[in-house]
Amino acid sequence: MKSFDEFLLVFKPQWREFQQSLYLFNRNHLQFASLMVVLLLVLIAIFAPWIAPYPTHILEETNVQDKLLAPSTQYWFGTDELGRDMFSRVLYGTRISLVTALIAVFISLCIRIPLGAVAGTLGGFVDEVIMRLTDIFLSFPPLLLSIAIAAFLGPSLQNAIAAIVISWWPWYTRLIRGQAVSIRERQFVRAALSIGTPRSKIIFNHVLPNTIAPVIVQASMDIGGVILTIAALSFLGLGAQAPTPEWGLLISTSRTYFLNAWWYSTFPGLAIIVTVLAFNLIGDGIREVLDPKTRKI
Amino acid sequence: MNTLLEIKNLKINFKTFEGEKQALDIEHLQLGRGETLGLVGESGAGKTVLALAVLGLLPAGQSVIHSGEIRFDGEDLLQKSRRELEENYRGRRIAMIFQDPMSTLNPVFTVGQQLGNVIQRHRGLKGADLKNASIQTLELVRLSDAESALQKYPHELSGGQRQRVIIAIALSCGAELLIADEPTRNLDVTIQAGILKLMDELQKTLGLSVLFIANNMGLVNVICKHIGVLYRGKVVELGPSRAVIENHKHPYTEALISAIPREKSEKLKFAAASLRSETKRGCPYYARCPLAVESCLEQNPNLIPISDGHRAACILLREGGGR
Repeated sequence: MKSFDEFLLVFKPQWREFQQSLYLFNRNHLQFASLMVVLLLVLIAIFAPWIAPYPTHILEETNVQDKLLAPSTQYWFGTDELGRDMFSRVLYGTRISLVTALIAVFISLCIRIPLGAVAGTLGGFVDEVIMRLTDIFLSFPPLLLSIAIAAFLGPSLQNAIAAIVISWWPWYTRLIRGQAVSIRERQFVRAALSIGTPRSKIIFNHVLPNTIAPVIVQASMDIGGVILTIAALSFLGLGAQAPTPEWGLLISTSRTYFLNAWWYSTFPGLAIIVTVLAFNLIGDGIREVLDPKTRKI
Repeated sequence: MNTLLEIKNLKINFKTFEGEKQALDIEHLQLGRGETLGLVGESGAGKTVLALAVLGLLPAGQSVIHSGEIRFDGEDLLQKSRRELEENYRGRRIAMIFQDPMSTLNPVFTVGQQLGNVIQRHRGLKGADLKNASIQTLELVRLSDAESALQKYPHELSGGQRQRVIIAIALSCGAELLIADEPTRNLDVTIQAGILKLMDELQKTLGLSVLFIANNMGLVNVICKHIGVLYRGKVVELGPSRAVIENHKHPYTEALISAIPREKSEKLKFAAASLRSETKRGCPYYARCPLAVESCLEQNPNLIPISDGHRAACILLREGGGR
């Protein structure tokens, strides 16, 4: 407990704000529920191989005598065309989707944030170069660009992540640049300049912390979007490859058996819906909490 | 008098759609060590432009410095590179307090972090020493309950408290010259009085040189030994406060003084009315001057000495102050 006291000594106001934000966030029942769903998904993602009833069914093992069985007490979500337990496979799919989404969002944030902040704060030639570069990327529809890049790099999960990072960064670089431009004109930046703060410090100490709120909101919404895009790429055969139990891929293979085995496509689809919805609701909630206009105690 | 800041023949223009417009044209202005100079004038007179020019913070693409020198302790600041200004002058020897205390502090950091940052940079303190120094500085500016104020975010403080924090930050740089650009703007009158009193005390105890910018003669009179009156970028009257207030010579100074609210019985004069159309030649105050005559249009009047250190720019004046 002593270390927590020491922590409070340094970060008391920040800790207080955090608790207040948590309170505001949880006051909305829908947001509280979505937070719980996401926590549950994270736990599932971490412990998937241990909680799956048939861990060997996740990848290659086949069990053909039980193929395409409807949901029952033995196989909760039914089985696929090779007799593998769908419940185990959908559970494991959570891990794949969350991990790939986190990696994709993290990498693209690492590109967007510095580029946007530098462009917005410095302005001039640097700004011009970065913004024209984003224009080039923005001239393609993002999903089409992802598909083109994934097809060019060859179908695999890593390449799908790369495709998403490449096609998504310009959108948020512009967002952050816009924020930075408006922060740059604020009085406290001028005041910081008047006491001799160098421009590099202005970017990191004054501009970035003030642009971070929309970035956090965007990032949490992005996770939903990236999961959806990865599933779409896998569905088209450009992302994860069999036997990976990726949700989009599961739906793709289920098309053949769609008329006889409704459970095959339904459960991975539900998993995608629930996950994306939960992340979007969380994004909404974070925005409400971080926006001073809607932040009401 | 030991001069700290001296401005000579400074001409600054702004680039506009209609060509360059004169923003500032100052023949000579000086501020001694430990002295206080008040600059008064209406909005747009060029007070803030002057302050920003001293710090080298004028927007580069939009302003042109035509000629002149800004000598700080003998060195011409206009000849310094941005790096030199950052490292040796801004925040080291010259500090500035901005107009609006509501937006001068960064909203995402606590008072302790922002003040601590500056103290750490200038004195190299850490940990408990840093905290004690921060509390001391806040007590110096009479912020009540300094210790808990360190833990607060700017939005949790009132305007007066914020301005005190800003003054504390400006002081903790250890600057010799403090430029205060309307530090009491947007504050309640009672709080204005408190801030003015504080600045007066600090100036005397710390021996600061203060360039105090305001649009109210009354405020400037409280703090400053010398007053300069600016109108459309030109100094129209300059001298010791008492001489300027009691024996004002320029009609614009008179208008400013009569605009200070006093007792009920006295009528407020409306000083902003335009009497004639604006002209480009002659005296800049011609359009609004109640005393103007034809010959005012002939030349831009120079400062005419009236008494020791007291000068005014009006062609109707003769040396010594007679009309």
